[in-house]
Amino acid sequence: MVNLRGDQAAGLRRLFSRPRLRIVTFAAGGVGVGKSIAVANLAACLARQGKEVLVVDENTDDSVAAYYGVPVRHDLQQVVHREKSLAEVILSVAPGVRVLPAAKVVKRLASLSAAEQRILVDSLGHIGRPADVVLVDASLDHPLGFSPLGLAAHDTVIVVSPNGAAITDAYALIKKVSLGYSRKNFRILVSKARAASDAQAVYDNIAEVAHSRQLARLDYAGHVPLDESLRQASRLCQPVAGLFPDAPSARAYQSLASALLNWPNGDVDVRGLEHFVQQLLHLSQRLDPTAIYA
Amino acid sequence: MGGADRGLLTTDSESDIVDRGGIYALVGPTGVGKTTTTAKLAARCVLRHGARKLALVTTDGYRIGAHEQLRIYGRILGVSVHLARDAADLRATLQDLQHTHMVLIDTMGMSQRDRLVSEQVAMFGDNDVKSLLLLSATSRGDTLDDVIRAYNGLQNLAGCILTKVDEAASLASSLDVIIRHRLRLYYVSNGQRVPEDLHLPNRPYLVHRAFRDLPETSPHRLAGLEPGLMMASAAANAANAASIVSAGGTQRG
Repeated sequence: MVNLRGDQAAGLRRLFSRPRLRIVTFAAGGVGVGKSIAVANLAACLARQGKEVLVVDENTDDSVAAYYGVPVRHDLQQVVHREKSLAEVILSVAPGVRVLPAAKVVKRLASLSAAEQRILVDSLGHIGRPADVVLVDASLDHPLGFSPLGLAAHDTVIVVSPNGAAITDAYALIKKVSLGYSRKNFRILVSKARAASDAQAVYDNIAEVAHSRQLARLDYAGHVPLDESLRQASRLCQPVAGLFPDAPSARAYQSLASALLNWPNGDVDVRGLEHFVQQLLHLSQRLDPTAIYA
Repeated sequence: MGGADRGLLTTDSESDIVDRGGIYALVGPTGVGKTTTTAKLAARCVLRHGARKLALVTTDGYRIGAHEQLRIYGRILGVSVHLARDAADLRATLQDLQHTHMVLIDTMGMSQRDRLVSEQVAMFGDNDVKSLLLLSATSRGDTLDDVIRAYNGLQNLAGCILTKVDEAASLASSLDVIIRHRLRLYYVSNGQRVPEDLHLPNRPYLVHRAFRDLPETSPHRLAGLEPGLMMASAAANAANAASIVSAGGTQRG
């Protein structure tokens, strides 16, 4: 039957005109591996490629906003409690990069009332300019054992630095999430690498063990070299790609940004941020922390 | 009915051409839905395999807006659209596209009596292009016979696509023609919507519709003495032909 509200390609336009929102979570097994610095720099590189980036920050300390030199005053929790509007909570830290501090609300996702959930979903549907990419900086300690945002995202990147403790912690995290939540695909980003071959070795090592124990499939997302420019830039609260675009770390972040945009969408069910949040709430209701401590 | 079911060659989801890939030209008479069907197939391919796995080509420089129409679909899908004006152009374009999983070629509609048909046949033959003949279910059986005879010279005629199944009062004549010429039916189109109105053939449905009788009030339905008269006339013709042949002459057709 002809529906004159559109043309014959209306169905086609619906299928293909949607901006493809991509949601990537960054997690780590322990502190100090360079996760938040990676998220901050990656956001900057994606913005330089013309994307609108929203960083959802689950961390109270070492937050991404702090990396940009912007103090964090509010939290998404206050929006849910109707104390603040979303516009007051979201921070524009750089052109194309906005940060949503969500540390407090994420810890309480499972216990939100139905009304609070609805506010959460509605407000995230109205974040002004729609985002092209959402990066989640996951927190390490979580009452549920692992961030629900990490489970609901399309891709989860585990950041690891090339030392024994970090590698062990990363493996432990993968094991925990794989066994507890049946999440079997991760990407590995090796930061603070002295050489590409070292980073590759770290990845090969951890991927081999994870594969042989049939825990998870790990893809290599790349590495970020140890770089003095990166340290200088972070002391100046600037992304390294802006200050020192030719630095090895800047180049690494830029190619990681391009690669990220081309990662295949596992299930092509991308219907925007509200859908993601609904899935998130759904998941957080069902997560059973005892499963992973067993 | 079993005979018709056995005689009807179709593809199924395992042999869907968008999965197997290749270069396919959609050919056929004017106004049967070649461009729209090209768009539907393109969408089918892109939805499964991504926009980079497909390229669109049109050889129709004659119809006003033909290239533009396909370009609009290409834009929506994120697929490149190329215009090939002649055989040399087509060869060069296909050479550029040799690593693409699937190439769909939309062609100019033409009367089966146009000598351009044989030129087109030659052009596609030279370039290893498989052809899909589009047949409208609303056409008369004798016209469809004519069309198929004109295109049967295509060495790479893979099969056919039956269009306007929603508009046809009966599917009997079109399915009869397809069965008799042993053409493989690849898809069936039942409407103008892109991409919704394109399907793999549903055999039970098609055969059922072919044998479903016309409504009682239809002037085309044979009633009363008419079936007898039709058969008697056919029998008389056959007897006449037989007597001519046995008398040593040739039967006029």
